[in-house]
Amino acid sequence: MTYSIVACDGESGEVGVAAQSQAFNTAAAVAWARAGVGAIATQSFTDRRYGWRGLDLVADGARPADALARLRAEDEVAELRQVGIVDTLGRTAQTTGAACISAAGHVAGDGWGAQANLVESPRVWEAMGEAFEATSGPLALRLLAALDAAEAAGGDWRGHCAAGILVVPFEAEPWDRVVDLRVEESETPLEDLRRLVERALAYRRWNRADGGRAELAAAAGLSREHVAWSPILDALDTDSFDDARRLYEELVAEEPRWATYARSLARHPVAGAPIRSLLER
Amino acid sequence: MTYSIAARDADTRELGIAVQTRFFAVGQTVPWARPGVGAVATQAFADRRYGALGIELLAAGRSPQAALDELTASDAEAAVRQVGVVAADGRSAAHTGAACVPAAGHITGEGFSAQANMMRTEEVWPAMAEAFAASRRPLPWRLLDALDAAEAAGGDFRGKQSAAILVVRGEPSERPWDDKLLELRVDDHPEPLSELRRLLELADGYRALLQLREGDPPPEAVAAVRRLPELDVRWSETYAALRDGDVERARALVRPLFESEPRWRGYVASLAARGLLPHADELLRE
Repeated sequence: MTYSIVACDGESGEVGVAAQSQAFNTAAAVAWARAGVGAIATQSFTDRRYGWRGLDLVADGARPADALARLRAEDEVAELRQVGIVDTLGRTAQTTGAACISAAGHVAGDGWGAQANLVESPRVWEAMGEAFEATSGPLALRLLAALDAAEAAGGDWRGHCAAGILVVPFEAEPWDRVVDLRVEESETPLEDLRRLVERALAYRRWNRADGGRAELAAAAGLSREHVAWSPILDALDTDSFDDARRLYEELVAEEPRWATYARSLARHPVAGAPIRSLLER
Repeated sequence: MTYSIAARDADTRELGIAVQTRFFAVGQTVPWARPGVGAVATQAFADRRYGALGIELLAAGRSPQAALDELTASDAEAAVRQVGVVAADGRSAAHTGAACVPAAGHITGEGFSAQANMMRTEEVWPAMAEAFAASRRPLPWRLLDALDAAEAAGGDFRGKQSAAILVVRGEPSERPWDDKLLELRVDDHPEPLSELRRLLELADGYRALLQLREGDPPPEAVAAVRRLPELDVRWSETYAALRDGDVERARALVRPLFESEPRWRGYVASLAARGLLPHADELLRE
């Protein structure tokens, strides 16, 4: 029915959770994370209380194991639930209730916990952990590798599933996110989720880029606006004002409303600076 | 760039936001709501601070206008922001910064705020308000009606990419973790509103499926379930047949599944072992 992984990136302090499930709107119920605190997956007759209260308990200083013990003690049907918790120190706690539908179980390693229920075999959660450990790079992509491995190990064979991923930074406002993406009711939830994550990471790179935006926007399939403006912004980065101006005039000839857009954008105190230099010429 | 509506349902007191934009994954940024407090849409160089702190200020007793005044006063880039706020008591306020890209504007009224920027025309936000006032449907559908009206009135000149809808209970319950009634996101799609409509129908269908299992569903729930994927309809009918003790009918329903995919037998056995499917043993005995 559901497989998920919670994990902490020991270097960046990011924490995250990724899940795939046959249940509609999975991520809205299963995936919980808070910057500088931890990440939680709550599934199998999902009780969102484990996510909501669990993050509060960990934020107040509880070790994941103590938080989970307390939540279970307050739950009359704890034997139905499956939960995984990780904090920003990489400490984990998990439970697979005795009444979870088999195959159901969990496994933990250094800074991660994988759990699954109503799947083909214990290979599913084992494969998630192995794939997470074997993958390097951004936490979001390591979480996706774990989901792919679960699917390859038998995963969820009943079709039209949902998936989601939530990764939060270490030091940030409580509302900040690295990625927070959802797929609903898809025949190919994991491919869809990977496409979303790769696009989200590409937008992040684009926003921080110094030159090279045009290639990035085209390769990553960014929006028409990004594709249209990238060559102009690239030219401005190298102070090639005449090129930038020529490209801008071509763009406006094609769609006059870009001129209004540029004039408004120029009024932005920070983001408007390159556009102001463009329009002043 | 974006059009959105934040609103309260005067009857149910539910609070919600719906939004569509030519921007990636809008649902993680624009909509904010808390039961008994209010709803906020923050867009145009969207700053989540307006959502998170806006809700806190409303909870602390500020009016929507006072909350917005405080937030814009402490934001050096307030001129590029657009924000709509509705409080649980129906008061509303909005801010469209002077540097928002035209056509940009908002309209507020009792129980709603509709706002849009970077539109083709200035008809977009009045069209949202009109559609919302005219719709008699449940709040999620009224919000979607407003978005449809915005798109029909011109929408965003650069196209469309993502949409989202968030609805919370009118008053906080004793289980605050369950107070979010609906949270649907379309993160990257050529037709975000059509996809949002499809998901909303599915959400209605799955809610109705639970009513169906509990017995005595209203007629609209039966209709909503029929719109679910064939597999879900088949299983809901199987559950109903087994609950009524009609093993023959249940057998006829699952036979094609068992024949096409042997793992369904294991699935039924797992449910049976946990007592979750009545007469499951007979179902497995062909």
